[in-house]
Amino acid sequence: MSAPVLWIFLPLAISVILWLLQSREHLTARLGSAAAFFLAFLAWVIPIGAIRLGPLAFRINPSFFILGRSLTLDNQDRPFLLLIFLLAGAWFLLSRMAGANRLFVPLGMGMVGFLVSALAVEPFLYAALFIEIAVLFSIPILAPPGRPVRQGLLRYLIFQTLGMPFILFTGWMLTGVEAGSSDLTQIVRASAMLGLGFAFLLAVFPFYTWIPLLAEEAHPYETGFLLSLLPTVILIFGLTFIDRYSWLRESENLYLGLRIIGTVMIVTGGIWGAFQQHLGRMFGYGVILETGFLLLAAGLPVVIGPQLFAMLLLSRAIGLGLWSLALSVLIQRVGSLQFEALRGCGWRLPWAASGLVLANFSIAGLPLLADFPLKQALVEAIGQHSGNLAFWIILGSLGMMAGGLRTLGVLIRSTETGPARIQITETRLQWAVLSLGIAVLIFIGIFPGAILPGMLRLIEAFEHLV
Amino acid sequence: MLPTLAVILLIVTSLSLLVTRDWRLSIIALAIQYIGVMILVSLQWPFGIAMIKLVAGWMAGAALGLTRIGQTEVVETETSWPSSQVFRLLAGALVLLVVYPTAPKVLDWLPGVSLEQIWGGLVLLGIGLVQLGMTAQPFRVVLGLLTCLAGFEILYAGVEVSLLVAGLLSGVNLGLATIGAYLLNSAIPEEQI
Repeated sequence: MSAPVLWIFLPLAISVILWLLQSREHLTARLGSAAAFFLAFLAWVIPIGAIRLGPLAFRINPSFFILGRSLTLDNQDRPFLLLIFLLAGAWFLLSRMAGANRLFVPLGMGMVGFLVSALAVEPFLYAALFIEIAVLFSIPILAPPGRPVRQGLLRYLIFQTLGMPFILFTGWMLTGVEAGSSDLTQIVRASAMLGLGFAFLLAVFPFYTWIPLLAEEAHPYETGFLLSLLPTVILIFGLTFIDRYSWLRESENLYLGLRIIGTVMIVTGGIWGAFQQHLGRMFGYGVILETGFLLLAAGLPVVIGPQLFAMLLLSRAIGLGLWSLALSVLIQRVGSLQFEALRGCGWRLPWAASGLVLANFSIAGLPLLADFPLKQALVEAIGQHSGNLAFWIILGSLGMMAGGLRTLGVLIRSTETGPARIQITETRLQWAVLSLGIAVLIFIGIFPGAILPGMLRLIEAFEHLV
Repeated sequence: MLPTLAVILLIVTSLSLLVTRDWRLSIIALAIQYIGVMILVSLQWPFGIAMIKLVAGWMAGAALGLTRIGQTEVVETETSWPSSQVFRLLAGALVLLVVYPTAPKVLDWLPGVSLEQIWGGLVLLGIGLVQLGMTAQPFRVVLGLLTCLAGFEILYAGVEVSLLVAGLLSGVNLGLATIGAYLLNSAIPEEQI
């Protein structure tokens, strides 16, 4: 057996089986999450290579060859496999509670399979093709039968598809640069292509207009799954570039560019987020702000930058997960995420309201919540390079915090029917999960050293960045 | 001679795709467009592998066409006929005007690729992008994306010959068409399909 069979072809096969069972929604959610957790467990305990279990000896080959190219997963990829399958398992497990559509688990599992392929394919530049296939898998999740297709979804499809050719062309250009060509023109061209490709794929300013639109149109849980999983894989793919090519790694302009673009995303995401009247759109701007912080971390020099980057992935996943779960509970109960419709809802749905506001504050970087220690370290590190950038980053974070305060104000506003009293109307499962999410956010915020450093194993695969 | 004819074919078909609102004509234009793509790709690739582009493109067109056949006829009305058609035609002509002088410069970027391939590739990329910028309908968006991808495939064929990439790109084309077909139906509740 080979590792790609286990962590790529098996999820794809499970995806097909779940597709056939899609009408039994609870069963698909349980089977999908069980399969994802099992694959995460295997990634945790089984080393790739020779294994000896008592008298039994067998071998998991790292590579699988297909049409002259290979899919390769080795031991350094196991932390990534563990993370992606754990996240997928958690999203699938809670999908019924959140009211996700019945295509979510089958196609979500297929997406995970293709995203793992994207990080396994050699030459790694072909990853753009697998990412595109994963994007195609995500479309029915975001637009299930019966829901009209709107602009955000189409823009998402267009921008992701347009990103792929740029990355593929970059791959071809880089073979010339890699071969030792010191042609500056070639390097500039390759950098421009690479930058455009990632700008499309990562929804970097100014190509992020589809994120708030999609977050407004689609179900928040489905959008949350997509926006927490896809950028994570694309960013790791991006780190592979920086790790692989010394001319890129040693370019001061690259780091400066990442810092500037990251800051622009934080400022625009934070400030525009503060003025939204729709919680879905505000969530979209929160995602933009988070991507900005990740780009900022990638723009810091080696050691501190990649370390913060890896740890941010976890706090981001928890923050966005809790945010979209709380939004899902609200939309189930209220039917709309417009401020007007949500007035006073916090009294009826206190756990959803608390989860929503705290996740928003955590993403904004409020002290004592999960993102704070990392974002504070990031701002400090950026401040050493440029005080101006640090000022703008704080301004963006304050914007997102103001958005959270506005949300809180709307949710706890007294209703016309009389004095407000807290009345828990969430189901037991909903409040249990939401309170657990809140507890994790606070726990990480108070004890960041307990969990976050575990994420550093994720960057061990990048030998030049650790 | 044949490559030049293929470029002319691509110009005519891509402009037709941009201008016409009749889905039948659009599917026919798309099918003919892939003949031009196949001819230009075959300048670099073995004929058998270049045929993959034609087969995948026709299958994509068939998927979209069959979906439209099964739907209630909705006439795409032009709010300001013929001025909107003329406008789209002029936008397409503008792309051609930009492509003509740009192509020789792109030749520096892509050594080994013929000028006809660059013309064909850039025309499809440009007109595909114009189409994407002028519509919010799933059917037209998918046609625009297929056109853009076809242009890219012509250029990429000149620099990379890989069976895996050819297969995956065909998969992406077919996937896009399948998603297009899905989106055409997705607004309809399942029980009515």
